[in-house]
Amino acid sequence: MKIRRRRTEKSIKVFILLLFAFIQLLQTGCWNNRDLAQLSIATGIGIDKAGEGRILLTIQIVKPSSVMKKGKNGGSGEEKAVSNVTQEGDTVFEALRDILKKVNHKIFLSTVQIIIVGEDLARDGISDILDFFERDHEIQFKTNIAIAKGITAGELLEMKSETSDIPARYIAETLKNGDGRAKTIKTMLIDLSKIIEMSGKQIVIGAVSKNESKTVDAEGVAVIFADKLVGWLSPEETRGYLFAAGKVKSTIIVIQNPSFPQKKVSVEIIRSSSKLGINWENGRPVFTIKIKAEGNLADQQDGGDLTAKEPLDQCEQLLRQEIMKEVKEMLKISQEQYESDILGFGEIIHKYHLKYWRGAELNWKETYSQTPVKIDIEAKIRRSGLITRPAEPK
Amino acid sequence: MYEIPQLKKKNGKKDTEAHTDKTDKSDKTGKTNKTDDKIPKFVQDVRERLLEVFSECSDFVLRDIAYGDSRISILIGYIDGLIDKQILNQHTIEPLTTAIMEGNDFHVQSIIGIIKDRIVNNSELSETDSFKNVIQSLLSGYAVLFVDDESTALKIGLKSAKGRAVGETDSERSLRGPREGFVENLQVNITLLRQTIKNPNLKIENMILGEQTHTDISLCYIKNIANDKIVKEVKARLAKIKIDAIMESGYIEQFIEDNAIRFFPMVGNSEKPDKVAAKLLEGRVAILCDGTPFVLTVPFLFIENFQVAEDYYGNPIYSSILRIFRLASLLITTCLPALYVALAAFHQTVIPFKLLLTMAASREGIPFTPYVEALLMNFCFDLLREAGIRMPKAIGDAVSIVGAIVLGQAAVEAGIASAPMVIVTSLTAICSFIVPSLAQVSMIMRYIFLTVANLFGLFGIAIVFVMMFSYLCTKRSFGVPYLSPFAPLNTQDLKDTFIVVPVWAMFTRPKSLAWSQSDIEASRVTKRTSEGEGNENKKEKDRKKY
Repeated sequence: MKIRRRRTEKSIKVFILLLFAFIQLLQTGCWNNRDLAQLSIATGIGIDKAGEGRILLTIQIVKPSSVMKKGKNGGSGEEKAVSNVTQEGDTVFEALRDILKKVNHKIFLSTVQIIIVGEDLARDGISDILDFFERDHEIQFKTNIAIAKGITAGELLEMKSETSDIPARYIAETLKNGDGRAKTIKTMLIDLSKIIEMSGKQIVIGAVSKNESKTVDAEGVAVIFADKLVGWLSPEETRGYLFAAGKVKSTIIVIQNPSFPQKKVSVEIIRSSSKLGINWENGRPVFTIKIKAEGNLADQQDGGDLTAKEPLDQCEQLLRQEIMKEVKEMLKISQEQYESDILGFGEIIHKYHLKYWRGAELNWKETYSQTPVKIDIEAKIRRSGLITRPAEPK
Repeated sequence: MYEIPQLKKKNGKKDTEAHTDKTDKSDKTGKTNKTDDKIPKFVQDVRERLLEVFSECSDFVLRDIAYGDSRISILIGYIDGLIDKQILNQHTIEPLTTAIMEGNDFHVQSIIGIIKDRIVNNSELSETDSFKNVIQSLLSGYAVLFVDDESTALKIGLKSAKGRAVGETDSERSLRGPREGFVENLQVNITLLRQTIKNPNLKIENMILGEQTHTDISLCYIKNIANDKIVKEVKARLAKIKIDAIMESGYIEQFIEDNAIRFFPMVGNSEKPDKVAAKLLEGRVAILCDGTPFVLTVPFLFIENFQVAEDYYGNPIYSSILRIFRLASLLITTCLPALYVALAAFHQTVIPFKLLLTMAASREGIPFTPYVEALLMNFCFDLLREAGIRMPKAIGDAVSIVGAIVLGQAAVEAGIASAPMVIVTSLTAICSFIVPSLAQVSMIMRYIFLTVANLFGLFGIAIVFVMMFSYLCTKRSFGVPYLSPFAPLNTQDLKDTFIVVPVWAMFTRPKSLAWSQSDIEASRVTKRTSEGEGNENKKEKDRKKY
């Protein structure tokens, strides 16, 4: 009986607990509770320089219903799917709050696909604006960041594409598409905040520009020293950088046809890796880069069977030379012109040769630009697609 | 009744049936002591007392006959409809009236003895000297025979199995496996169990419950498999029941449950003999109740809600996948609307961009908050379901069509509900049918989860989840932890939880229920089985293990 009563008491306790849960129904609940329909969904942020110490913030707000409607009708709607709102301010957050005088719903930042920093602002330094994006809980660490080249960020966000209703998403996806070309780089907010604090490594950020046909060009990268934009890498140099950093997922390299020099052969790189290291010569470091690349013969203009041993060896040799050329160009410009250690050799020394690093850290910029680099490239061609030689017209 | 010339009765049986409405209290020999449980010696007195007990019961029949060619008067009482009249006529009245007396008989045996031994042809015959017992027997389908000048009466079991024929069940359907289900008749139900388990160890103990209804209850278990402590506990709990009427096994369920307030089911019920038999063979106790096809099984564990007889008849891999689906369906039916509300109202951050656009677009112009919307839709659905169950079948279809159109399309088009909410509600509804035994509790949980989701978002859902599981952890069903074999963990019994191992691999009985080793288990321990013997043994046990 005693046990039974205790059980009953327990159930009564549970019942009371549930009762409390139901009483909550009568109360108003609004703590941090906002309806999905009451949000201005932001997809892109552009930040430009506006006078000394002031910024111009552009927020791209999407109208969900018009996006969905367009999707249904095949994209023929007249209604614009997004609207860009701009606001000047001293800080990012101030400008962001001041935007509320122009829009009816609170701005929701978790959906931001890309943050574009204008060239002028980037030359002055990006760390001042970066702080807000690191601090705010709504911005996702995975958000892409890009630098506008030769155009303001605000203008870039106005770019309309035939294939996408939302410019910010269009730009972000185009950047992501760079995986298949290895001529730009996708930088996430979290990478930026990590690398910007390192003295032995400098960051590169994907550059986005506008071309004549009024689409965006997501090609090349911006080289940052400390937090300031110091210059650009061309698409080929960017590829050299990616080869050296081991970040090439896939790309097409065009080489001469060894049998017919006026014809071309393209090789699709399918796998590549690299190893950065330090050698010591007379107490001074020498950087070493070991690159391994594997590719397939993907496209051949005329010229017989290249899969035989001799022409294939020649092809591999040409491929090696092409990669070497790009890596060397990249190193030359980063060492001599920008003096910016974008591959992060400094970090390697920091990690494995701490004593030397303590002495070298302060003038690493100079040391880096004078240190010789040894490059070792191994290139292989594995397969030739479905056929071995091109069809011969007769 | 009057003294009727006894020869007459040979011919016309019908006109001699005594009807109670003709009763008069003018009989002379009213010497009976009412508090006495003894059966009166003379038939006249018996008649008087019986008519007193069964006054105004038009279905109570008394029949006077004379024993064979002698003048010894015999009285047969029965309740019309409860017994098989044809058998009574053919095998009791006819032999009695045509019997030829031999003088010697009376010296050797009492007349009751002679009738019992030689005259009446019936398999179920017993003597009683208790008047109470007589009344009880009459009410449960016996004809009772009284002989003048004898202190005992003869009970003739003539219970007629009237009622529904054994057929397919509505509540538990299966594609594969026996089709038959229990019926309202207790005896038939016991027979169905016996037919499945042909084993003298299947014990069936009878009880009578209900002060007014005197409902027959049978307690079934398999000796040597069922844990004696559990059997004892069930008996003790049943004995404590004091109630006027038992209309359905649900009454018993509420009395013997471990909790005063029922939330999660702690007593199982089934309409299928194969399922109940399998549970008996796992060491559970079954409680059969006359008048209902629902048989109770105890102890009942949480995981049993997800076990279906077909799991063991079909492909184990497929069964395992379905088992996981069923568990998932419980989560969906309790949490999905709450998750939707939490995401739409608090955690937009975790929604993928494209989905967020879709959701935001569909929510545009909806006048309600997600919570009110979810509440409204779920409420509509619950009403529809209730209507569907209670309505006559033909109208039920109409209700579901109207409901589907109103709830689905019209609500979205009118801008009262958003399309994702309709999808969420319908998915919730579908999933609520997958685990029927938890349908009621999951409905309650759904509203609780919805409310906390609206107040505290995912945090609230997590808190209620933890609360729910800690509540379940404290529960026991007849001494067995409700969440076993998970909590406390019993690795051996996990063979029949998230996954279903093939039947040949289930060679141990559930440890938390049955405490005795199965033969196969024992043979594995001692490793003494020869090849052939082992196989035979195994086959038999496999069948038992279901």
